[in-house]
Amino acid sequence: MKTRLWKFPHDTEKIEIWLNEMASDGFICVGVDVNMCRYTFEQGESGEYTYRYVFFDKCFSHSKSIRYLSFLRENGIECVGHSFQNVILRKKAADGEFNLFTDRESQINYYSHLKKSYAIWAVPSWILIAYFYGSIIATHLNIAREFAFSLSFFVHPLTIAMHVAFLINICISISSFQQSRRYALLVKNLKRDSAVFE
Amino acid sequence: MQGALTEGVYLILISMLVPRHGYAVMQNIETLTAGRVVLGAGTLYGAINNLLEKEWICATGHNAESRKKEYVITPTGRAVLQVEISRLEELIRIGQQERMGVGNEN
Repeated sequence: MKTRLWKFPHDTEKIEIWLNEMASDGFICVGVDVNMCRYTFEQGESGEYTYRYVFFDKCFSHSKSIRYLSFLRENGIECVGHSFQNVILRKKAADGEFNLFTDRESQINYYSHLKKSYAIWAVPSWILIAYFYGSIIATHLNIAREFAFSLSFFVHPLTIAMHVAFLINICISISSFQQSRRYALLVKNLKRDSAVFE
Repeated sequence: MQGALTEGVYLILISMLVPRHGYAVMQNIETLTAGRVVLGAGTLYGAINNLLEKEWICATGHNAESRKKEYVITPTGRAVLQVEISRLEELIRIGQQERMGVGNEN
């Protein structure tokens, strides 16, 4: 029997933990769609697979990503779902630990890529926030003439939609900024270590 | 003078003295180091691409049984490996010599 669950992928590490917890409870993720929001599970053997939520350097359909994926497949790693650069991979737990990057250099490269990706998400969000803020003021002024600051302005669907979009944007932006900072710190620590250890 | 190779690259070059595909390289490294070094698929993929670019290894085609792409060390790769082995031998010799010297003084 298939079970479908929804999750917003704002914290990819939490999703990875959740997928592995589900797998250890015997719910195996077999597919991800709707922009990494809908997860399909099937009942199976508990702890059969280990899951990883990873980011590819290029979009999933890019020839480099296709070559990389076929290499991973040769090494017993399957792709469960993808959207743009987001990819969910799984490997049979019996085949050993599942870590894609095991040396400092490749970890530094991977985390630097994540740091940049999150930073990119954090910046345009602020631009959008400014845009929404401007729109709210403009709408306020426009509608104000009509409604004269009455209650109907605050319950106007457009005003509510603007505020919701504004809040979502702030959440995404702050979360992206925090993630970017976290990966920046990781890269810094790894670089410091790589000056001492090979 | 060539710089020091990373542990991963050194072990990959050693593993590719005979034609091997990615998974076989990972398994060989794990066996050689008795499980101390386990190479991740992402790390190995990046290393293979770098080594192919440097022409230290080359692709030999696909394994007849598993249909997996195999790679083998090139003469350039062998020369690099030889220099690295000499460098490591020198380091061990220096380490042991100095340790013995300090030990005798005490």
